[in-house]
Amino acid sequence: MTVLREVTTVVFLVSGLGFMLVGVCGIVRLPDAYHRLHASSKCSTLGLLGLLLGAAVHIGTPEAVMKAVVTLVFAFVATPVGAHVLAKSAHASGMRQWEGTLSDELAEDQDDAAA
Amino acid sequence: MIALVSVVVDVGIVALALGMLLVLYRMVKGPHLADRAIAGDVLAFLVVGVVILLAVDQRRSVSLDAALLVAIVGFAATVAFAQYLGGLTADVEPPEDEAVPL
Amino acid sequence: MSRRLVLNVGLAGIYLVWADERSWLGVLVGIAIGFVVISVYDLSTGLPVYAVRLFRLVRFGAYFLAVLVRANLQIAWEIVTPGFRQTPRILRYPVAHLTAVQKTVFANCITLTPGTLVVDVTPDGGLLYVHCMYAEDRATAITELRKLDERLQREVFS
Repeated sequence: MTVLREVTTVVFLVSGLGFMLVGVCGIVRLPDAYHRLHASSKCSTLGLLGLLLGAAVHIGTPEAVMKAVVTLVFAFVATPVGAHVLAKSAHASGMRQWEGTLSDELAEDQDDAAA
Repeated sequence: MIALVSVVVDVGIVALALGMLLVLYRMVKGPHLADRAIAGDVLAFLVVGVVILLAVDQRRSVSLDAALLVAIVGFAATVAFAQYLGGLTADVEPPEDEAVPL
Repeated sequence: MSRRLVLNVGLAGIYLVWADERSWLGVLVGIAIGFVVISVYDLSTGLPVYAVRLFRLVRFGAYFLAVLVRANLQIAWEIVTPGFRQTPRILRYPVAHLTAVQKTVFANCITLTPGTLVVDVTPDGGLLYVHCMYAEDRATAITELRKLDERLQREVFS
């Protein structure tokens, strides 16, 4: 039983750490701010999921599980919302996009509204 | 067998520290303010990860409170930065508040 | 549905305090009691059976987790392979048929599914602007979004 618990903890922790570090590499490597937001929003959420599940399994008390669940719910709501506000404000402040971008219908609509 | 988790915790903290260095590189270099804001967001999540690993190491649930706290502060910082960033050029009226049916 | 879920967990909490239970078995018993109470109540409301809706919600949760893992693997693959093969676009997607809460849930789900990120929403809430990483063909990307939309309406908002 304890061995099973150790192994579960280690699997959760390692997968969480791996996804978080993938997100970090994405921040460094991807070409423009929208692609970086793709990396940060998805990988932070899943990485936090793995780490919190690992902590909950390892500690194992009801308080720990409750706190992990509360943090998880907050993360699943707050991370995408943070990505939305950052993307919106980046677009509003006129950030230049990667040269491979095919079309930008938001800018088209804003130009139409301004014209 | 007991040492396995603590090894993972030690390696994980070092890995997260290296990740913080990479994020700091993006924060210094970032061509646009938005890139720096994203780097700050990810930095907050890496700190949350370190706090969770410390909670695993101590085997106490008290540190998980700190993790939730850092996550909330990081989210607030992101939103505040986005407000500043969005107000730099465009000045948009916020939409009317409506009653939200659950 | 969300209110019934909260009620289910709340009834479990009331049972835990009332029966002075502090064990995992007690939590399970409390959730089972809440489940039975809500199921019996729902027989009189004419809605689909609570068990079926709960099963649909759990199935959506599992599907969503799988999609989130796939999104991460996609990003990871994009990072480890050299060069950039993205074909990004910012697309409009009409969401006028959803309520405010449903729009928020839908936008969060879009952001956490592979290759898509919500950028903006019009002030009247009628259009969502979605940044798609792989949208060489515009129609295919829109179809993917519509699939997620229909799935959410069928399994979560019903």
